Amino acid sequence: MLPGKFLGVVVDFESTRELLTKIKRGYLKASWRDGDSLKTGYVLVSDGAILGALVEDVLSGERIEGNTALQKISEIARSKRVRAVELYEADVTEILRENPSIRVENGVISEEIPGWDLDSLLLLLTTYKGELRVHNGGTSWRLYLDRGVVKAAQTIRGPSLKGNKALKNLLWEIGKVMKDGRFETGGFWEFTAEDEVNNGGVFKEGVELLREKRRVDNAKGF
Amino acid sequence: MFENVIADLLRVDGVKGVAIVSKDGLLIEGQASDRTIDVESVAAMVATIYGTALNVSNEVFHEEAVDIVTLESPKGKIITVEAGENAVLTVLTDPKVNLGLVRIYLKRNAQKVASML
Repeated sequence: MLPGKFLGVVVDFESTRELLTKIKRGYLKASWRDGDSLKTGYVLVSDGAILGALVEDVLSGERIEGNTALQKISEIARSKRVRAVELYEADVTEILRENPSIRVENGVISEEIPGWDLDSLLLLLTTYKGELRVHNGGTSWRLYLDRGVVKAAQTIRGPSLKGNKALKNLLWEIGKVMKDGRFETGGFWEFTAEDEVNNGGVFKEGVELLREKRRVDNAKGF
Repeated sequence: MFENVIADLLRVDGVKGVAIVSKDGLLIEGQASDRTIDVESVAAMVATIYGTALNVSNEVFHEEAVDIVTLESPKGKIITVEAGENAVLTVLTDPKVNLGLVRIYLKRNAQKVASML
């Protein structure tokens, strides 16, 4: 169990990322059943970045720490087995100093955003640094994002494209992604020079424009 | 939904079972570390004990409210607090449990349960 000041319980939340933005410095705590046992997971957060993770078996006291723990918590979050999460304010630096083994490298909770949910995607883009996969029918793209800017792109399914060509292809298909596709965070892609993109800001701008267009279309409907 | 509450209490040394029970005796959620404990039966009995304690309080103190109900037997304790208007939170413990600590955790978690129901 980690020290901290209890802030509140969030029930039936939409996404884990939404929860991460609710705490400045502290941790999320969630428990779930695992067969006959009960497990508790902690995700340590500071300014939107995940710095540590821990999973404890309540009955046996067994622990999983660091990236392996974060992976487990990501799986549980994706499966929607957790309905209530507790938020705590805490001195994350101090907790990590006392428990260095729970520190994570490139902490990202893997989650899926449906293609139509542009508000969640834009919220993700403001803070997210890491890999984003975009899936649409027969084509999938992989982007490396740094707070809204695409640094690198390539296709991982469908036509083989890299860098600017891959991004251009995604922008061409973004309407279809919005309709039937999905976005998926997670992983840490070590891209090469040929994957690099020149004008990476265009992706976020495109998504913002599409959101505006949809708002206008919806308003016209009334 | 109450896994965090149950986990919190089961971590307290000496606590063997936790149950969130509706005041009419239905188990809302519970878990025991000891497989011999039938949480569902305990839930029904706990609701009866709590209801009786409320009646006694009403008769003796003219106040239909109870802070905490403790049943002590040579082999263990059952401690129950109110958790919102319609539920109680109860723990089953070893006889030599740290009662002060259990009470603190019970009160804290009863508030969480009340806010979620």
